[in-house]
Amino acid sequence: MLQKKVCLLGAFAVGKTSLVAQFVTSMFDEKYLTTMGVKVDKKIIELDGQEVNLLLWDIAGEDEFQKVQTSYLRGSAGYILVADGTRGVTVDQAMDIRERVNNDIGELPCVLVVNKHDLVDDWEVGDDRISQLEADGWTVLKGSAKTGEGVEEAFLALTGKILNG
Amino acid sequence: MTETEHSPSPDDAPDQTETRRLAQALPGAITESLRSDAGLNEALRPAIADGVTHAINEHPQEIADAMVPVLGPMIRKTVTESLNGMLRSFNETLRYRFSLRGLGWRLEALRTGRSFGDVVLSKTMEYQVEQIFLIHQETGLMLGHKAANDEGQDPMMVSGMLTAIQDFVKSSLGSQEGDALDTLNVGDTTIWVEYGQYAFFAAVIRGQAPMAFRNHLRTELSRIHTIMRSELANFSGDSEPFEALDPVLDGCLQKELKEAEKKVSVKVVVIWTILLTFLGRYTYVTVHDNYHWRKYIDRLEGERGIVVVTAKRDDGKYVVWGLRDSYATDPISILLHETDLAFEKVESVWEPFNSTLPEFQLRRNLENQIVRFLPGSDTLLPGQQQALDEIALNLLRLAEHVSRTGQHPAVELVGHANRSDDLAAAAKLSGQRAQVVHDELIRRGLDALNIDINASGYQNLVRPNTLTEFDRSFNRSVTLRVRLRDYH
Repeated sequence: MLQKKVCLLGAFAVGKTSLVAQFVTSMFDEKYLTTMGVKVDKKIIELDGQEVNLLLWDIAGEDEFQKVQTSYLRGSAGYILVADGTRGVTVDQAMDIRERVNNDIGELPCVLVVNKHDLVDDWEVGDDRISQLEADGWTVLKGSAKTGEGVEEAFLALTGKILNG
Repeated sequence: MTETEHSPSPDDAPDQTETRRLAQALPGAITESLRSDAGLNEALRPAIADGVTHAINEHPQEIADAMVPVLGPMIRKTVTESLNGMLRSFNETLRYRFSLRGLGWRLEALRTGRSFGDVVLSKTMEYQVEQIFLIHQETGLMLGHKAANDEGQDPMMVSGMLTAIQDFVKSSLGSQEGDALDTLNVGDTTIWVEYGQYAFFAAVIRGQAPMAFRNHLRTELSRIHTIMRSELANFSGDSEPFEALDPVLDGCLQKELKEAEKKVSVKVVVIWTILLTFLGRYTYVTVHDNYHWRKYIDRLEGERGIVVVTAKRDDGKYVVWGLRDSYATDPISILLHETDLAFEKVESVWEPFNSTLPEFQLRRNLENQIVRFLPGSDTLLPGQQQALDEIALNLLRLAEHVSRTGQHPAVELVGHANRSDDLAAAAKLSGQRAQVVHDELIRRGLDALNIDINASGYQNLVRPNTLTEFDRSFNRSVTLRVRLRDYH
C-alpha cells in the first residue's frame, strides 16, 4: 500500500477547503482547522494502475496575522497551492508560501490551482500571468469548487509529479 | 623604615599589541591543538574541573538556575509517572487490603515474593487496548494498524491527525525537543504515545492500563527499530514491508479484565466444593457425635450397677470413667449395639465395684452357692436341704425384685463331676446332679421360673485344682448361673 503525505496551502479565504471537500474522504470536523490550523483528509488516486493513498493535510489559510505553519509540511511529498482568481494578490501570496516552503523544508512537487473559475468574468488573474507562471516552471490549473473543475486533475498532476520525480 | 612604591616594571606589563595578537591566534591555536591531539585537553582538564567545582561551591543558585531548563522536564516527567503509579497502587491497595480477595492476594504476594501492592495492581487493572497504530514520525503516515473491534474509522487519517496534533502541541505550546505528548485523555479512553527514532506507537486504551504495558510498547518499538532500521529511515510511503510487523501489533492488543468479571474457573469451583463438603461433613459429624455421646452417657447413668464419675471431651476423644458392678450390663455392649457412635472414638475406664442394689447382692449370693453331693452319686450330702431352701428363697426374692423393671431371672443349674477317664460318664453324673437340684427347686414352688440344666461334666470345675480330696469334694456339686431377662 502506497501512501503519501500532501499538503493543501493557500491564502486566507481562497476556498481551498471547499474546493477539495467533495473529492476527499473527510473524518474530522472543520473545527480542527480553525483551532489547530490543520485537518487531515484522505484522497485515493489511481495512477498508471497504482493506487495511491494521499493523506491530505489541509493547512489553515494565511492572512496578515498568521503565516502558514511550514512545520506541518515536514515529511510531505508535495503540496497543492490554491489561489483565488478573483483576487490577484492571492497568487502573490501563493508564490510567497512556495518561497517559504523552499527555504524551510526544501523544494517539493507542487501544483497551483486558481480557484473560482466559475466566476471567470471577475478574475484579476489574466492568462498572461498564468503563462508567465508556467514559464517559470509552475504547474497551474484552473479550478472551481462549484463545478468541481480542475480538482481531480490537480491531484493527478501532483501525484504524477511525486511518483515520477 | 622606608616604604617603596611597587610599580610594575616594563617587563611585567604585557604589551597591548601582543595581547591582541594572542587573542587572535588563541582560537586557532586551540582548534589546531585539539585536532592534532597535542595534549591541550589533558592540560586544561584539572583547571576546568577545579573551576567547575569552585563555581558550584561558590554559586550554587546560579548553577541550579542554569540546570533547571535541562533537568526540569526530565524530573517533572519522572515524578509525574511515579506519582501516577503510586496513587493508583495506593487506591487499589486500600480498596482490597481487607477483602477476602485481598487475603488471597496477600498469600500470593508471600508465595511469589512480590509486594502486596504489585499483586493488587496486577489483579485489578481493567483495560483493553482497542487500537494500536505504528506511525512514521516525519510523515505521519501509517505503517501498521490493528484494532480489537472493527472501529469503522480510517486508521490512515487517524494516524495523520495524531501526528498533526503532536506537531500542533509542539509548535503552539513551545514544548521542547524530547518533551513530546505521551498521553491523550478522552473520557475513559486514553491514547498512549511511545516514541522511537523514526516511528511511534499510539495505543488507544479503554480503562487503566498498567505501566507494564508502557514498558511492553517501549520494548517492541526498540525491537522494530532494530529489525527494520533501514526501511524506517528510507520510508517513502510504501507500507508493505511493515506488514511483517502484524504479529507484533497483535501482541500489543492486550487486555486485562477485572477479577470479578472473569469467568469462575472449574478448578476454583471444585476446590470450593471439596472444602465446603469437608466443612459440612465435619460439622455434621461433630454435631452427630456430640448428640450420641450425650445419649450414651444418659443411658449409662440410667443403667443399674453403673456409676458414671466423669464424662468429657478430651483432645478430640470422648472419655468416660466410672464404676461398674460385674453383674451390670457391659457399657461397651451398650456402646456397640445401642449407640450410633464409633467405638474407637470413646475411651472407657471402668473400675469394678460391688453394687449394694438388691438384684446384684442376690445374684452374687446365688452364684456363690454350691449344692454338694456324695462321691460318684447324685445323692445330696447331708445338710444340703438348708442350702436349697436359701437358694429357693433368694430366687423368689430376685424374681419379685426384678419384676418391677419388667425382668425375670433365668437360672442355669450347672452340674459338676470330678475328672475321670470317662467324660461321658462324668457328664451324665453331673446332669443327674443338676436334675436333682432342679426337682428340689420345683418342689419348693419355683415351677414358674425358667430353669435350665447344664451337664458340664468336668469341663467347668468349681475347683480346677483336684489334687486334694477337699478340693475334689467341691467338684461333686451343682452351681447356679443367674441372668436377668426381659419379659417379651
